Amino acid sequence: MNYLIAGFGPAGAHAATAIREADPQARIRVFSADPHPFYFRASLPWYVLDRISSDDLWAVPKGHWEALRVEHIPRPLISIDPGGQTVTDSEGLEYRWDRLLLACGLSPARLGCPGENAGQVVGFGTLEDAVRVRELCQQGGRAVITGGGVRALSLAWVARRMGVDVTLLVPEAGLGAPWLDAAGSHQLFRRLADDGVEVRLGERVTSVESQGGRVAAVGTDRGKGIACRWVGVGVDGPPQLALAGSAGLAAGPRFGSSGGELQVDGRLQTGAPGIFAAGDGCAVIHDGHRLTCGGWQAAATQGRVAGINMAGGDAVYEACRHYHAATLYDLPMTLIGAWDAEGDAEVTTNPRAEGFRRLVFRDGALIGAVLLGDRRHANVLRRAVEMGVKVRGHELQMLRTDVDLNRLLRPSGEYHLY
Amino acid sequence: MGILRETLREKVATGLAACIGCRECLRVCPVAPPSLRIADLNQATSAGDPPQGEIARFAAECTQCGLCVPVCPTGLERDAMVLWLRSRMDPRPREYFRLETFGPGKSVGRKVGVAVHNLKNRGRLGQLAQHADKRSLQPADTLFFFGCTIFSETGMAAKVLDIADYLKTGYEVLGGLTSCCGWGHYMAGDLTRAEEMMAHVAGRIGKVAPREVVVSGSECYAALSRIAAVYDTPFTPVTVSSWIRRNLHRFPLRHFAGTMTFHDACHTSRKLGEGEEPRRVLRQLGAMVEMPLSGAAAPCCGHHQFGVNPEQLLKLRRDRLDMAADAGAQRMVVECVHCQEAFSPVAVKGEVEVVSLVDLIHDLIIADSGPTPQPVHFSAPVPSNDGSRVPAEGA
Ligand SMILES: Cc1cc2nc3c(=O)[nH]c(=O)nc-3n(C[C@H](O)[C@H](O)[C@H](O)COP(=O)(O)OP(=O)(O)OC[C@H]3O[C@@H](n4cnc5c(N)ncnc54)[C@H](O)[C@@H]3O)c2cc1C
Ligand code: SF4
Ligand code: SF4
Repeated sequence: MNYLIAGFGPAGAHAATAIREADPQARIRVFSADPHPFYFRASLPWYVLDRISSDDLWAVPKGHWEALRVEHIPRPLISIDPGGQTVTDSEGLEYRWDRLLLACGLSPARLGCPGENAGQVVGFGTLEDAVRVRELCQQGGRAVITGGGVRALSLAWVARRMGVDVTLLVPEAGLGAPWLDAAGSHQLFRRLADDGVEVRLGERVTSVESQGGRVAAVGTDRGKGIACRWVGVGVDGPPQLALAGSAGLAAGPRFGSSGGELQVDGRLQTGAPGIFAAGDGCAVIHDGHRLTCGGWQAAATQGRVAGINMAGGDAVYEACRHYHAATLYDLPMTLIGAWDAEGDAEVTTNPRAEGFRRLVFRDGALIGAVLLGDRRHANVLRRAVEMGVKVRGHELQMLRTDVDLNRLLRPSGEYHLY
Repeated sequence: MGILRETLREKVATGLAACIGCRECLRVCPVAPPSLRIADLNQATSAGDPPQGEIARFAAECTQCGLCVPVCPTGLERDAMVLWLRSRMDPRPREYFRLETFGPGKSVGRKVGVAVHNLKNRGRLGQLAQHADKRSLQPADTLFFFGCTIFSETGMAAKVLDIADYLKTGYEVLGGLTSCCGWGHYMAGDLTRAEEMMAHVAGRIGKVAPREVVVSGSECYAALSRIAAVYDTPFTPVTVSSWIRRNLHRFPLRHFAGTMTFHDACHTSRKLGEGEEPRRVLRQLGAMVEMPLSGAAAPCCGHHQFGVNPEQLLKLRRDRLDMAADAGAQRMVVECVHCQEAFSPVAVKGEVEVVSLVDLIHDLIIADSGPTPQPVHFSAPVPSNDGSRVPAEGA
């Protein structure tokens, strides 16, 4: 069997491993847009801050892929012919496949405005971006960063740690979309303001102006000019949609944002036979629920599920096992289960409380949770979601960080942390 | 597969998939070598084989302090991942063999071993000896659980019972080699034995059917919290600090001279978030200063390394006492019997003194009513100032 994987992030890497485990004879080829094999992309902030070296970024030991007989082709795929079961890469070379996985993740979206190609406009998604970000941060001054999600906020955090003044332009009406509602966004806003970040909600860059070959300012759709030395692009764009589109696969609208996302079933199969998709930029439609996915662990787990199914197995990505933990600026955020579902009941912390929680219930069971600022109970809530524990009557107590949830949910099962 | 093993296996599998490789866990780790790479560590953790070389050494030297947990940006438990590695160590460090003395056992040899051990310690334990591995347990509202720490040379168990008598509390006592809580075995990666021991303790506690179980060891508290959550034994585990705090108004309070600081026990303060109770007591007993690293950031006494690297442990302990001295404290107060066993022999006379919260309260009631105090003896050698002699771990 010939397996092709587009993307060497956690989704692609875990898929390759799962395929090899199931099919020792398989030929497995993995393509990527950046030159490196699987690395810890989400750790780039620590790399910029010099807390880890480039050697620490490789996600598997030396020789791992060779030992697994996984071939890495460091070129992006450009198009798919689903009927002929072939793909074409950026050099026009064609490859046949029996099974194909789309795992191209998200990348910084283009600014799409005059001046966007200036040398001091930088994304934050690859090792090369990180090297550039470090150089720019070392020059000090002000940076304008666009976006309000993990990528933009990580970039803002790193820049502040390196002494850069930051103006954050968030196209959406709140920070942390689509995960946080107004109360969560407000918490995050306060934290950024406390750390000296100027945040402007609902504002976009409309032009990048340079002087003497260097970025000097940006114009925005509110008509204001902001003097700055560099521009960080932190808005996420979905590269795999173009690739999927070439195979006639339609994208659905992305939950809570203007972008699109590729829809797959619980086995991570797209609408086209033999083509699977996993990781960032996918929505899993299963059991009557549409789960917007994202994050390292979801990508890794989905990659594994996709790999098993591609090799003839039968695995399902269940919403109740979804877990996404990241840091928004320096506040921990955790998404558990069907965090984006509409349950029949929902509770949210008081906006003035320290830490934000939103819990979603259906038929007396917790089905999803969003936590910001305090990760206590994350494991207990996660187990409660996985096991479908009936928690009716405890809904409000579960918002509190100072109760012993382990004990509260007993005796319905095993919720202890150890 | 036992629940303990299955829960740990699941936690580790999810953790490995979610690890973004930032290395923050190893940056704060007191024992991780700087050359250790996350990629190698994760690979070894997910593999089925026993760990080798640098990774095996790291797994053995990990103190299970949990300092790596709060710093993880994705909320993972590196300590659990290392524990999983530890559970696969082959050969197991020889320092673990003494753990085999603890826990229940049906063989004649085992029973004789327990009887001989108890006989040897009878004189030292005095009144307390009647409780060590006793067969019959009576129903009571309050159970004092000492497990194997009943033999601790700190004398903490006897003092706790003196305090209970002073308060005229009715109680039952569970302690001895056979009723060790099994947490040490868990921390040593012996998951099967740990599960057996916890199940055994759950059964023994069931005989007493207490409302609350008071414990003087931080690891026993963790074990009993798990037992209360997993087994069908409805009781509330209470740390001895919490129990003292609740009864504080009944003691003849006075201020102790000098300045005190508090050393947080990993399992109560950091892992179960209960560092405030002992502080509330201490604030009533005199001047308090905090060390720069306290609460969730407090370094560990190293108990759960089981003495694998004595020089490393000695340094950890000395550094902590130096930190207490630098903070301006004359006394470092601990709440856990294991922390006391770890620090006391390292404390140098005339510098920072190591006492437990129980010692302080015991001093108060002695001054008030005068029961005979239990002497504190350490059979372990006190190291010389150059650190050449290393103390043994307590019982
Ligand atoms: C700065 C930063 C911080 C982050 N922090 C966190 C965090 O704390 N927690 C968390 O859970 N997540 C975090 N993330 C997000 C996390 O990195 C992603 O969720 C995860 O990498 C998604 O994995 P993936 O496999 O879907 O895609 P990616 O890791 O994005 O990999 C995509 C792969 O596809 C390749 N590719 C792109 N286009 C093509 C093409 N046309 N053909 C072939 N290959 C292509 C790319 O080169 C790459 O190899 C962070 C991300 C960034 C950038
Ligand atoms: S538990 Fe403590 S010693 Fe073990 S890995 Fe974590 S920080 Fe290091
Ligand atoms: S701190 Fe967490 S995410 Fe970072 S390397 Fe350690 S376990 Fe992985």
